[in-house]
Amino acid sequence: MSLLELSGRMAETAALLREYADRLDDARFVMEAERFTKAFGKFHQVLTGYKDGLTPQANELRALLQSAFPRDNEGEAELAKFSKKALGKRTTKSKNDTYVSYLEKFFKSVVGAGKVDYALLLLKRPPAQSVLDFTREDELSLLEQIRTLGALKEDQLEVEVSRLVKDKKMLCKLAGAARIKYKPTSKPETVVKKLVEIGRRYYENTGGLFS
Amino acid sequence: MGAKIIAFINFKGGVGKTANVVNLGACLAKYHRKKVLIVDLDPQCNATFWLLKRGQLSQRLDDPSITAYQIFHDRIFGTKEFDFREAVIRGVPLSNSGFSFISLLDLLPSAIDMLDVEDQLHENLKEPYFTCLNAGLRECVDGYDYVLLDCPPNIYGISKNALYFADYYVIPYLPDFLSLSGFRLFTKLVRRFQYQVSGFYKSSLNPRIAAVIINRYRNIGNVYDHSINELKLEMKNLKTQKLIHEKAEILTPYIRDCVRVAECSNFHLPVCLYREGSIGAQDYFELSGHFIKHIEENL
Repeated sequence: MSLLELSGRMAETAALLREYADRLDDARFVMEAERFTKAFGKFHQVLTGYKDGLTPQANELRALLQSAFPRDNEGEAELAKFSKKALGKRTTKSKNDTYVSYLEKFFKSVVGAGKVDYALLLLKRPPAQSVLDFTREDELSLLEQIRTLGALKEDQLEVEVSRLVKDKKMLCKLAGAARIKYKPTSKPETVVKKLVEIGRRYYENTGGLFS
Repeated sequence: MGAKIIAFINFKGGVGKTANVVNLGACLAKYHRKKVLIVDLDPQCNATFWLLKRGQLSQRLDDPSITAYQIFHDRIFGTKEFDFREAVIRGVPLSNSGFSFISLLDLLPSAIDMLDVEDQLHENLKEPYFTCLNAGLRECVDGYDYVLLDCPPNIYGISKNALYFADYYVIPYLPDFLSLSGFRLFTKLVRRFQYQVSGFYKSSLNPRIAAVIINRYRNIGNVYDHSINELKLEMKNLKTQKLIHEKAEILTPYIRDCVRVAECSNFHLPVCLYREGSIGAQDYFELSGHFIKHIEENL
């Protein structure tokens, strides 16, 4: 019997014990059974994760992660963003973490969460292209682009937001069409955020369902 | 060139239909020397009450045969009592001694009896119910430049008569979301009606919603601006679907919220006579220029 099979059986037994613990009607027994079940569950999960970490997919992910992000502050920030995309939350970085240890931490979290295939998919996907069309700059065309912005899913929206933050001239025109005050001191990120909010409203009221 | 017949219609109430008809009509006649006829089709008689004082009204209230009601009555019951020259009130509004303030502005008043028309329209008729107004009034309006139809806030029989009779429809509009959704529904109802009448009138399928007038605009924050932006986007959608005229526009300037406009009906005057210097009067003056340009040159 392999170690994994053994741990699996033990975790099952622990769960069974938890099920029957109520019969004794003693809080102490219930608490211990709870602890016992949790410990074996965790043990089994770690063992499974370790095994998954050795699969060809996990190896590919580790290699890709090492090459996809530059080993500097910017790369680290990108990795943190990517961890949010892949896991739904940023991997916590402690003060003592180096780039390599942070990458390893993230890798283990992905394996532990069973999201190796999803992370691979995200990494291999070609970078999204901008879908906003600024060839025409009359008021109605700009309003249509704001509405398009409001209709975008998160990944695409991120691309457009970073494009607009860099293109202040266009951002100023869009803000004008949406009647957002754009002062020289305004942070582009704040203006884009407002634009997205207004775009969502325009899409809700005059696009999507009704178009 | 024959009269341009324009229906001011929106099945949402309180959006400014009567205010637009009365004030725009007055500006067209006073400043642009256009001969204008206002036809009040609303059983609430708002345009009639606005432009006539109590003494001038009393006779009309007692005798609906000298109002627009008689046009429908004749068609329903086969009588021929409607006399346009007797029913129309020339040069409204009138002073207490009967002098005209705007000689080129005429009114065909309404009567409360118009409510009965809705019930009777589908009875005893040998012709389609929506053709009564066209049949009874078409020949009478030849001498006018503009005929402005003040419709009731619904899309029942009388309104459908107006839709059939009019060359174009203008939508008075309040900048809010409910008006937007109402406008969207209204365009579909109009299209459905146009399909119904297409057997009687070949060109009835052409979209005739030609303009929107924004009423009670207030420059506070950008609440109203966003609603107007949404309207612009929606109009683009509706043009693509051919539910409104391809050259339909939001007429400018927007009519700003103005206490004088709200007040002037108490004095039975359009705002351009009541307070010529008010922002309401200025807006209507500029709007009338845009209106003429749009109707006569763009469409």
